[in-house]
Amino acid sequence: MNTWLSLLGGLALWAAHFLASYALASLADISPYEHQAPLTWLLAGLTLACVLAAVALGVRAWRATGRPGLGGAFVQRLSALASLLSAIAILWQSAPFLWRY
Amino acid sequence: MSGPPPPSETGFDTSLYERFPTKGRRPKGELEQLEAIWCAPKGWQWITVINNNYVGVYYVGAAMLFFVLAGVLALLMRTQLALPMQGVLAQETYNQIFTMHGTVMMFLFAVPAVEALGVLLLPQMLGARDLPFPRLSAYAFWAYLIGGLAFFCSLFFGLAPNGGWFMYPPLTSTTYSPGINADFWLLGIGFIEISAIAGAIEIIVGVLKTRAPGMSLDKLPVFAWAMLVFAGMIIIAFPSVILATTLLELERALGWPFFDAARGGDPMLWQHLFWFFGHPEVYIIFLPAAGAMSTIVPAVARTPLVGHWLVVLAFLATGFISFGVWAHHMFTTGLPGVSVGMFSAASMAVSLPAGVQVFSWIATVASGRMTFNAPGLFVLGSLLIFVMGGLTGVMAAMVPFDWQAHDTYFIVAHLHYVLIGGMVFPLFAAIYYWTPMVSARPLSERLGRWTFGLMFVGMHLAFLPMHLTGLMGMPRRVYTYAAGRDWEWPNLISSIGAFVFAAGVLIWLIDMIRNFRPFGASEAGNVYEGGGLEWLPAGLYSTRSIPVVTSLYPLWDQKTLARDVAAGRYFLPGAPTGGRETLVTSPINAEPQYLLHMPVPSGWHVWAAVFTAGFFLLLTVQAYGASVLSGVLAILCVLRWCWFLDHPLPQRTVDVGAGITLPTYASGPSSTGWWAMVVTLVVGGMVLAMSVFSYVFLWSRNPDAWRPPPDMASLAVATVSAAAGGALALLAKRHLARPWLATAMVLSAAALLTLAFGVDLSSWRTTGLEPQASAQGAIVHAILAWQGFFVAVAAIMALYVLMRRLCGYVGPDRPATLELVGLFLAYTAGQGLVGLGVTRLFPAGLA
Repeated sequence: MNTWLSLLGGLALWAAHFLASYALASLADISPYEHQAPLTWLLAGLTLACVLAAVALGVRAWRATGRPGLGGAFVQRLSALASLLSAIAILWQSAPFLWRY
Repeated sequence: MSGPPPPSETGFDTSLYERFPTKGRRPKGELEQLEAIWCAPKGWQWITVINNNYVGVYYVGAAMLFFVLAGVLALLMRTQLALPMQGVLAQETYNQIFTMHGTVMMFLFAVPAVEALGVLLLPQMLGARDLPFPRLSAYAFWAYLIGGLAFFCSLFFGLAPNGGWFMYPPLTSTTYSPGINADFWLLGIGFIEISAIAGAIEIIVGVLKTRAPGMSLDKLPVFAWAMLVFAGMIIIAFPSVILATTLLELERALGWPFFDAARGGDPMLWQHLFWFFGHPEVYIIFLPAAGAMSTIVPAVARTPLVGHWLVVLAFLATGFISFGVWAHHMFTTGLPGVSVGMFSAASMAVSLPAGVQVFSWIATVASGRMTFNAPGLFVLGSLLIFVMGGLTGVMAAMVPFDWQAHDTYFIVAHLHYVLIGGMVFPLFAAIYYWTPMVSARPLSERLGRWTFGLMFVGMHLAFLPMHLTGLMGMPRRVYTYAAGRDWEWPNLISSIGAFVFAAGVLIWLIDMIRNFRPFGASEAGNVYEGGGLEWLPAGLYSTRSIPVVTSLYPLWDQKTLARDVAAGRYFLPGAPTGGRETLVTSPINAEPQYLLHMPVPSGWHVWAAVFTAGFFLLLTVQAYGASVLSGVLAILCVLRWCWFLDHPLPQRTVDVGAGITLPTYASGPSSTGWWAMVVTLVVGGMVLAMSVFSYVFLWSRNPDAWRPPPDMASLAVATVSAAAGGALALLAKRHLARPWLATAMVLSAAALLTLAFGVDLSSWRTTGLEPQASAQGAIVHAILAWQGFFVAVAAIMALYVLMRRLCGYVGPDRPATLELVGLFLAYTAGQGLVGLGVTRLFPAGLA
């Protein structure tokens, strides 16, 4: 299970962040104007947390590449790059929301 | 990708692999026994056959039949549009034909074709005797063929759907589509998607659990990686369209207003649900084709794939990101600006993994010694066409451009470039490349070049001008157009191109008739010198013995492999249990876990498919009594089919080669049945998730009209009953030493789940909330109906356990059935609790 979590964790974080962003954007659309600033801060915090988590997953996987592990170096390097790319993707997809509000 | 050896995943001592290849002669009669067990069908057995060598060929053949049929519809359309104000097709006929063209291409050709390719290729590619549930594959095929043909034939009676392949309401509501044409689409497609999901379950479990020993994830063929991601995406995406079609059919048949704005519904909900499936569908089609490309390119370029692990990463990234782009089909519907920005960003991002794959193929071609044979030509053609389609896709991801091009022929051009470049050309490359694996003769190189040339030229002639007609303002889905708008020449050229493309397909058909000779005693073999296990010498039993894999391209790197495998010097050189069997291995390192006893052909899966199709088709023509009868018969056939399962063999362990012994029975996470059940429950969970989304979406459209839920007492009773039922179901397997107690616990669990459902339903009825009256009534009753369906299945399962107990088939020596039924019941309890929580506490709990 740890191997799959490591492999797909970063991408799953991206997906979770995307769904949360969509939900918050939809909520902002039906909320009064004065409630929109807190939603923006909420998304900013969520974005930061997801980026940090994805980077942490990536660094952890990268450090593990020299050590024995299930799936070997292939899975470890794949996990590292997937997580780091997910961190960039999370920042990229947050831009419209954070820019707008 | 070097590194220290990975630790054991299962406790299996991988140093035992060094015993292979074994020395000495194999026992006399061993090969003959294998051939007798996996013998060719005779007479009616051609229908009941379940071996992937047969079902895979049938499946690919059926998909190509639908490709040709839908292609003929395209020619009719292009004939009508060749000149302005033509009268070849009446408007209504044209509407039915363009709807059927899109629907058949997407649902009856594209997805089944790639799934069929998986069923045909994966067992040999993975080094398995067959996929783990061959009857499920055969059921999926027959259900698809029967349902697909019946659906297509609706065209001949003027009953074909006519609302476009995405069937937007309110156009498809009973007000604007009063006949049963739309019902054919809704019930037919819903049914065919069930077949696709069945195939996906088979592929996921097959790729994860039936690989040759040593085939760890880094040595997993790239096509298998693509099929794994593809099948995972089906499991996540297709429940959405199943829910959407069910809701629209409920609205049409019973008047439940999910999409009727006058009663609180919203047609936008359909678009969200449809495109949550519909856009990933594009990648669902593309990924297996990309897997095939990534397999064929190294073979024709005679060099390993450049950046193999980056291509795998690209598959995974595509699998995820493609679920974040559904709303880019809805840019013109008035979505909030922020949402539009997010979906636009994701739409641009998804082009990156596609780019990684394209650059990998280009680099592989550049670094190798490319041979311009038929598969090679299709591969190069695909690269060019797909890149062109991808570039216009990035253009369409830009919101201001999309506002201009939306619903014009520009989009028609874009989607055909993507689908033909991303799927049709790779499929033809795959057909030319892998035909020698299943046919006594390869296809003709000369005819293959003609096929490629005509299809390539015809494709560009047909679709390149459509970019211009679209930018000149020609809307899609019009049955004719007036002269004098400068659309005449581009349309005429497009029509000529369509016929040139069809000529290419015709030559391919001639080639198939002349040269395709499947099911023979021998095959043409490794004509293109591929490096995968599928090119090992094989019979109906797949390979004679199952090799230990030490390389991504075993045939290139393990020089004596083919000879040793054919001589039976690896795993499972015979049939130690005397029946059909294959090795089950662990998901990451592919370490041997147990020997899976596999079924032999019988007619039950065919009858199950016939009656399942009957259930849906009879529902379409509103023959409700006959439909219910057909449904009951389908259930009985499935139960009879399952009755054969979970019977431990007298030999508890057997020698699978070189003195290595493995058990012949397993349950829990190491078993294939457990994985299949978990994946099936993910499907259920996705339908639930999309139902919850629908609930919240409909509430957000009209929150003031939302009525308070029933009293808290009924909530408490239903919650406690469901939780107790779930707990009992999970605990039952611990008491298998006392089979009657375990059976009683399962029966009690089902009774408690029924009680919870009954309490919930009756309490809602007391509030006076009617499903026809409002969107809230409709969606609450839809969630209840979904739970009711699961409770009914749980009850049937519990009775099935009781029947097995009465026959002495429940006990500690065979825990699998009870365990899987327990899992299902526990999930049903969890689903019921989520449904209760959402419908009772949202939005009331927020107040």
